[in-house]
Amino acid sequence: MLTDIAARLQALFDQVHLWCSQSAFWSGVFAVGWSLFKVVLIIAFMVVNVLVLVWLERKVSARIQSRLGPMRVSRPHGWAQSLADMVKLLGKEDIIPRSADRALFVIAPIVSFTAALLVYVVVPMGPSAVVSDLNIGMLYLAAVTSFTVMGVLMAGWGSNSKWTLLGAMRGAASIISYEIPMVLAVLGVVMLAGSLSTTAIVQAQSGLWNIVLQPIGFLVFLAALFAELNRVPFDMAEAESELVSGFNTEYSGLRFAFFFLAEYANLVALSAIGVTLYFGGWQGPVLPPLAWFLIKTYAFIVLVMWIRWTLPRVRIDQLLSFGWKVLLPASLVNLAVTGIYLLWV
Amino acid sequence: MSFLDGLAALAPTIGFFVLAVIILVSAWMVSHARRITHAAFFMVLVFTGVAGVFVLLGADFLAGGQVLVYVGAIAVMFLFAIMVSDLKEISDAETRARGAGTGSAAAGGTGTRKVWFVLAGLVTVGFAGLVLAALARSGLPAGAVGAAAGPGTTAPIARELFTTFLVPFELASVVLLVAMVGAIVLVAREREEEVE
Repeated sequence: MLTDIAARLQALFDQVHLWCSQSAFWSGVFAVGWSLFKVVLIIAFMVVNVLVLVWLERKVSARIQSRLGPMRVSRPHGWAQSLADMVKLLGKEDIIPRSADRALFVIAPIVSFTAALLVYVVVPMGPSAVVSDLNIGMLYLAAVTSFTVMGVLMAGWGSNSKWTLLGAMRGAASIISYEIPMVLAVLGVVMLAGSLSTTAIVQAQSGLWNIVLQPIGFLVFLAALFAELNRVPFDMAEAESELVSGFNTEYSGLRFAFFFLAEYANLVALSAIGVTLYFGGWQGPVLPPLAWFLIKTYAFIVLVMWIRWTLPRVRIDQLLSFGWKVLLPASLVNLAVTGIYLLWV
Repeated sequence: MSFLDGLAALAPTIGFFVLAVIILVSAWMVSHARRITHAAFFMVLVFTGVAGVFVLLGADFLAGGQVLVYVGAIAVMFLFAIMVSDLKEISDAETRARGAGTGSAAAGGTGTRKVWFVLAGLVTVGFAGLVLAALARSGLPAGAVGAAAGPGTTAPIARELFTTFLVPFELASVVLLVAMVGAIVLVAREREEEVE
């Protein structure tokens, strides 16, 4: 039944594609239309996952703290809580502080959201289920995460408040410090696969997962992930017990929702990248690739949440010295060992 | 239909001109934005636009590197420098400079301004001529970069960097390292003096 529908859709798609390829103009229109369709698909995937994750995060944290978590909005286990939260957020008043830098204040959530969206382009969900298999995949990923910093800095500066500015500066400092060990750790995987393409990296792990070959690299990647995602123990940009709510303190309503969406979308995207890099991506027996991809990604997300609700926040100086004095040397050693292994072993 | 096909063939050119306008307007805004943070964010837009031009040329690795280094590192460093510097001080200095400007306007301030305009114009024309002459000499046919690159530019760039350009490449990294160590030494010395 399902495969039948898929086959029919494929046939329809082929027909339209064939018709469009008759002229340069229509094939251009087709390319643009197809890309737009993919963008809509990604946004839908993002939003659904974020709604699930917000509920999951509350449930996981409740479990860790011996609570029940949301129970009242629909049964079982208050699964519609996120929907209710979303409606509440959309209904809230949109406030722009009078002393804010209006342009930056308005653009910041859009930049954050776009940066999160762009990461999904190279996430491989199956052998051919990737938006665009760029041959500079991992470099693209490192480049795109730079825009996350821009969003945080714009929000922090544009709000014109001490909490947001402090949050933004700490957040940016931690993100750019941890980006270096992260990229160096990822380079080990890239060297093993001999390619920057995410699809090629998954295919290179058909025998053995990279977590076995790159244990140090994985630990460095995992630590840096928390800084990139602004999560406890490295949630410098938010630090709600010191900075109210950090860089997004002055935001409300829909604009706040965009930051919220971007944060959880980044969690999904970077967890998916972690699975791609170290856990064999979509590969696995019996089940279809997409199922394996989702299972592994969600397992990774639960691991991230588990750590987030177990550890306390570190201080900014502890964070930076850990990054530069422990993670950076570790990632360099990992890189050197990988190089020696590839050349002589 | 042929008109539409022509339009499709022109798409990269149109893309280039759109990017060019974005880059030039942003570059103008970098030097003319009223707030210094806006100037820095416009610089981010310039860097991103240049990365877009690299993509159009088929130099995807360069585009990625451009964004990673210029947006992710250099622009962030600029923003940090702006945010940690005492902005009140800057605006005070600015108003003083403006006051001085209006004061000296009576004594032929507009004259000096004209001289600066002419000088800037001369430098611009000279630089543009230099770039054009270099382009003409190199004899690069249009689209040569993309054609030579093929499916991916990562491997060819790496090969060139570690064979033909090995010495300049390593020298550049040594120069960067020296600059970095120098900066740290200078700042550390200042800190020590402050403590004393």
